[in-house]
Amino acid sequence: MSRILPLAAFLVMGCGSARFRDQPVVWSLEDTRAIPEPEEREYLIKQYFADIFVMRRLERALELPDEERAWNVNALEEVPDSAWFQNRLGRRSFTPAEIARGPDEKGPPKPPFTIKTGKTGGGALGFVMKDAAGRSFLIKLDRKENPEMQTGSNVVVNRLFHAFGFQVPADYVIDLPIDQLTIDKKATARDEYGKKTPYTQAMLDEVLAGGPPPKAGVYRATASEYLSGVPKGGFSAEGVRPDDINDVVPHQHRRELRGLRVLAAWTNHTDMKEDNTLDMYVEDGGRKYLRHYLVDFGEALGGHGAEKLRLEDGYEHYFDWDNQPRALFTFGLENRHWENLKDTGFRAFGTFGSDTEWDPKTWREAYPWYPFMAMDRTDAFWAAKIIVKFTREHIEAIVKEARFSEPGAEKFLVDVMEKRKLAIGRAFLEALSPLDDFAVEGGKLCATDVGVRYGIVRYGVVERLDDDGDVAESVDILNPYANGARACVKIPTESGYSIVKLRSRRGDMVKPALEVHMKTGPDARVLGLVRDP
Amino acid sequence: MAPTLNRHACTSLAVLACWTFHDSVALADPSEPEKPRPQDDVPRVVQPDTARGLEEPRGIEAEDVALALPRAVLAVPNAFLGVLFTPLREGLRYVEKHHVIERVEDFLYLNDEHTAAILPVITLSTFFGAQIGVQAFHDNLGGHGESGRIKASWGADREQQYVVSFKADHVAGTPLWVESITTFEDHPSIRFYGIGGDNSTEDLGRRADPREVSIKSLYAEQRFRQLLTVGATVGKPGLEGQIGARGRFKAYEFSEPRGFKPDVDRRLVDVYDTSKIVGYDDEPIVSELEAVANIALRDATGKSGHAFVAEAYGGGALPFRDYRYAQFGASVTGFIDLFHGNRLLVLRAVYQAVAGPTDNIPFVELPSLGGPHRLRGYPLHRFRDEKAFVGTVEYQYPVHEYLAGTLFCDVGEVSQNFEGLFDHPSFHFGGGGGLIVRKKDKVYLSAEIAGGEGVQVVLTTDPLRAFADRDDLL
Repeated sequence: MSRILPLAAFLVMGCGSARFRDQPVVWSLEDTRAIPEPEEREYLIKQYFADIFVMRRLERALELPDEERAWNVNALEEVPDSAWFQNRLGRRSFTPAEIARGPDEKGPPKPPFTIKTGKTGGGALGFVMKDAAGRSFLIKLDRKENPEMQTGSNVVVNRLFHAFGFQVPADYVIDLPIDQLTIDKKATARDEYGKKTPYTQAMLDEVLAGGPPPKAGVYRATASEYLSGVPKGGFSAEGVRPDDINDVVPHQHRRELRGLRVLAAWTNHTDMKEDNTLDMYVEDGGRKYLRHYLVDFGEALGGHGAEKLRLEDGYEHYFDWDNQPRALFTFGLENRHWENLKDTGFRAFGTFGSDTEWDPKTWREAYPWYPFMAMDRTDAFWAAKIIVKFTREHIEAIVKEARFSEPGAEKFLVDVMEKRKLAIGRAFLEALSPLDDFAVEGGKLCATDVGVRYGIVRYGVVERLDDDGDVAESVDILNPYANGARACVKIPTESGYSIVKLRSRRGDMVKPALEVHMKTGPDARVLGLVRDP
Repeated sequence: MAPTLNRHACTSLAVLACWTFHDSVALADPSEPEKPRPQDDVPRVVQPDTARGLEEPRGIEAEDVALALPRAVLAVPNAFLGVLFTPLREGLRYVEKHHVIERVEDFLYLNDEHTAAILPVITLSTFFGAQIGVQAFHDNLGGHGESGRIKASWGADREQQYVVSFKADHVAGTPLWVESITTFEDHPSIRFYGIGGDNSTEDLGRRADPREVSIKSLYAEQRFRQLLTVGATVGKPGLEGQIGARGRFKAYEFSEPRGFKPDVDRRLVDVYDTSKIVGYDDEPIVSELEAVANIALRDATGKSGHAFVAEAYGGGALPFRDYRYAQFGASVTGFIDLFHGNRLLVLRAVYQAVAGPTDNIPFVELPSLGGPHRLRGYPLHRFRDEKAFVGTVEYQYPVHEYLAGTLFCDVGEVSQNFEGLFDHPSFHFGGGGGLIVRKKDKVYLSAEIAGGEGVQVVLTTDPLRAFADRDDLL
């Protein structure tokens, strides 16, 4: 049942201070209710691009969208588990081996391989094959100009996204011996009109010729295992899917999709568009519902820019209504930051990693993605908080999965990812008071300064503010090893509902205060958090 | 069945101030063992504000209230955009879903490589109107970029145009450079401003000598041209040159303009004494032979850093008929990289001349200034005389991968003799800016606004190629 409330009532409520219910924190959303099989959403690239660059952009501008907070967060401003997102590194620790395994459950495909269909969509060369166990894989090759670029970046970013919490397919870098590859007699491809035609040896030859030459008859390729369920197209960048009653949060207001901008910036996943998302109609526990995936990361880590020969990839939208008109009317006098990029010397990375002054706040995807535009600093904080939890050992283990053959390539990429991680921490974690993991311990309210804990800064101070906003208590955090960068402050002893205001300080730099809402008294506990009141 | 949340619509229509809630909520506590899931007929969708755990759902934010009125006002143009965009969206959708472009290409192109086709020609000009026609071409006749073309079009500044051409820089992969172009064009209305660069613009009230006054007047011209170039192409992109011999046969007929507006325009025959315009009354026929050479030190036509391009010709009319003259010209263009290889300073100097007894040079063979290639900001053939000079300073800078901005200034002068160009010059200046649509190896379009004598919109593929109109299909 729904109800409609009058405007006046809303205005009154809007003026009041938010209070949290005394209830367990919600860590899982029930958005897996059984639904009838939805229609497959079409991805029509011409209409899509016309919309994201011009038509829908104009309409959105006239709608005057305001800065709205993400809708799907719990009392601690975290994203509960759902059909979209599963808390992984954000809520528990992973070993490097675990994190490198990613979504892999059954391991890479096992020869012999049989081609079943050609590949449709996307720019990469490839086909669909089955392995000896009858598992289906989408196979993609590198481009001849950039050996190991697409295959390498795909598996690295696949693992990073999975550990972050997104649903991704199991992707592998594989060896594809040509003598283990046959074409099924019933294999098909689609012609330029979308009609089925027999898959021929000439088609396979064309695919193989477009990639780097084999080594001793073995090609290097990405194998992406087919997801279980029925594909229902990508999910839209805004609004909800009308034929999915579980989809109640407009996508531009989903925190994980907004915070994804920070993860995409870290990995330079500029090719973020509807085509690289996928809704699968899955069966789980007797219920059929839509699970939402992100797919195809082969053009991250500089791949998209290298393929499109765009030095500005990661810095400007393809058609950028801010930067390009500015360039026109400043007559080339502005030295656009990306113009200073140099080739790294590694064929697999292009210019990725050459920007020594990279600023994640200025990062831009190639094709405007509305949730990224809606990202506010609490979304960015949430994402950055997960990203800084990736240790160097995690990243090293993930990068090894890519099997880069160029000497020094692995170390180079790990170093770059570490530097970018720190830049993200400084830009987004330190934009607010980076306190987290609130709990009542020994009659005090304790929190971790994640900025200190994860090495973004060397020391910090946690300050508790009184009702007048003055500092009532101050606790120094000298290093990450001192009690895990944890600080504890006093809380009211009387029973009731209290709001404790805390903030971080770095030298003279004071961060915005946050509010911890608590039930105080004998069984004191944290009820909720307002990170950026 | 639970209703779905519709807060987005509420925001857009804030004045309605509606809010839809889900009553049924299920919360999961990770500390509790997983319970059997309820039946599917029980709504279990968690409303996000409930997951947040607030005692009261959030109300309308002050920002939404403040924006309610502007949003309501902008809803009107937005609705208009919706009406405008709907057919566009549906059109794009139809084009892609039904592979319209592929089908049209397959219909028009005669081979899989899309190098041969019969295509319609449709051009629209704000000045001249529409030109429609058809052309058949093959851009790879011998497998080495040999281009053959037959074109017929009607309308705009040419009532009729028929072209047959063959061009190849490397015939059959050899250094042999061949160009053969045959055209017939019927221009119903061409401007004539007299001869000389510094004439008075006052109407003398009589038919004037073309060297006395410079008054816009119109005439019609039919011309047949046949061109054959044979030479050699040497080098490769980055350092490439051509040298050869070129023969031309040209036949003209002039008459009174067609379709002109008597209250606005004047006929050439009413303004000028045509007996003093060499060739006007004679339907001149000329044959020319000349040596041509060009050199280009640039590896990318569309985007070029330090580079140098030069073109020269020299020859004259063959003594078969009454018209005898020598003609020669040179164009030198330097591209100087100011910054990052994409802020370019372009400097160009062009000199063009005919020499011989003045009475032996048809007025249409006099070098002229004006138009997109020589002195932007002035109409085509605004100035003409036996000698002409144009200098250009242009600045090009990047905007987008496929788009560059440009600012330019052209200066030009014509005179009966070389000294006159510089002795008492009254240089004519034109300047402006524009956009260049390009890829690394090709310029697709240059769209510029130029001011000089009035304001001109210039659309061309290469405004810096000074002699384009001598040889190419305009």
